[in-house]
Amino acid sequence: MYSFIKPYEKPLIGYVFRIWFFFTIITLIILLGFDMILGYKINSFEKSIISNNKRQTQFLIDIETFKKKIKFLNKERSFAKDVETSNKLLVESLKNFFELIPEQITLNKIIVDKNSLTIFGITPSKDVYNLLLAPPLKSIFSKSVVDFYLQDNGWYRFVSKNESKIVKKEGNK
Amino acid sequence: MNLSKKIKSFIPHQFIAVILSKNDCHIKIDVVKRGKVIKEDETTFILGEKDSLTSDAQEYFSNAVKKYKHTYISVFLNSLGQGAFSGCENERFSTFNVDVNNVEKLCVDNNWTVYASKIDINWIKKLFYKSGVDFIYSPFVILYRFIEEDRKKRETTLYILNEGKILVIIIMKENKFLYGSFLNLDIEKDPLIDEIDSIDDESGDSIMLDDLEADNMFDDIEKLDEISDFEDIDNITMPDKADIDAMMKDGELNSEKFLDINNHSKQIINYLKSSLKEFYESSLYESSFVQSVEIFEYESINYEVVDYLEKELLLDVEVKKVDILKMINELSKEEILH
Repeated sequence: MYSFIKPYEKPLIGYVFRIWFFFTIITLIILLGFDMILGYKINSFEKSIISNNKRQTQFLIDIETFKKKIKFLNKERSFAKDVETSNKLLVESLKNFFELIPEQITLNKIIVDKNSLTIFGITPSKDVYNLLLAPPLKSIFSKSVVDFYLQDNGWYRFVSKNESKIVKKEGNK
Repeated sequence: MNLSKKIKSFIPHQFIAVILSKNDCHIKIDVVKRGKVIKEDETTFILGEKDSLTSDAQEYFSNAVKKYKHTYISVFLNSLGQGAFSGCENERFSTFNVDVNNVEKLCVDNNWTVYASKIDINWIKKLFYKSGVDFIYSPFVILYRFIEEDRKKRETTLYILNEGKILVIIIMKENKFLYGSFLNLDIEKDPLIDEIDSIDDESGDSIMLDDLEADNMFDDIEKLDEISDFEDIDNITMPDKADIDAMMKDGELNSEKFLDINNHSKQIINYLKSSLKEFYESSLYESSFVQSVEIFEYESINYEVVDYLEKELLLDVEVKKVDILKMINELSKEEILH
């Protein structure tokens, strides 16, 4: 610096240009801001679309499995209903059967099968059986075979095997 | 180059150099764009009363400033209240009896100081209050720049810048500033030859040589014998009053112009004599023997002065034409664009 005084500041950019520049910059910032916000929104929407699509396919898969489950449960339900009905029938028939047993005869064991009924018991005499128990059994079952075993006290142990085609379904009791 | 400087190079810059000379105001305009001068103009306005700018000149500056936004007005300071000395320390001011509080100072190349009175600087500012002034350059700095541009000599040299209104001298030994002095020719323009003669008649100048011899300052200088030629200073070939009167009577001279020229030359010679005397005698300055003179003239210097320097002081004299206005604009361009 060879001068005794310093030169006046002469700004490179004029006042009007400065204002214009300032507002242009502000506008650009606002536009860029909008652009960024929109970009962000679009991006997040795209992401949510992708995730929703994934969820949709997952739901479709779930629907399929639920359908299968429902089908299976329906089958189980009908099966259970069948079982219930047959059980009811069985209870009913057993109830009826026990009502048939005369007082003189004592039952030791009964085996209820699908189409057969085996009765183990003790009777005072063959006649008591033949008169009181054999007729109702014969009326129910198509085939009824009885074996008697004489015991020391003169009573008879018997095993009656009855088979029928009428009783179709039966559970163990 | 930083960005703002790069941008600046694409904007047109107008540099206006102003010299408020004797009676007129010299102006040079350079318009620079991308490092090239795209427009140049030089003009002169007559100065108003008390060296004020006329309304024409002020209008000229105002229009110029309006034309280019980046206009820098630089003024050459040629008022009396200024000087220069070696060294940059504040204490040097008191050594040279300068009140540091009343001057603006500049340290040049960490080697020497140039100062100017605040009053003069404010006067310039006031003169250009309409257009504003950006740079004020000391004539010492301008002369120093001319010396730097044209430095060939290594020995102690007396450099003179003649602006017309002022005369500036610097004595330098190699790159070292030794002495600086300033003469306002305008103020002493009017004195009559009688007065100059009376100064000339004083025995002061011969004392200078007696003192020099007495001090044996140049004992070790082989050219000591030549110094005795200084004694001739008193017998300068300038015509004295009696001679002029005689010539006037003879009709050889009938114009005041001649008197003026003589007067002017004598004034310069006297000033150079007293300056050299001060330089050689004063303990304030580092002693060295001036071997050559280089004159930078903005306004032509009278041949008598050159003649005197060559014949009477036996110094090698070189005279160069320089353009101060151009140099002022160069300096301003350096400040703003580089």
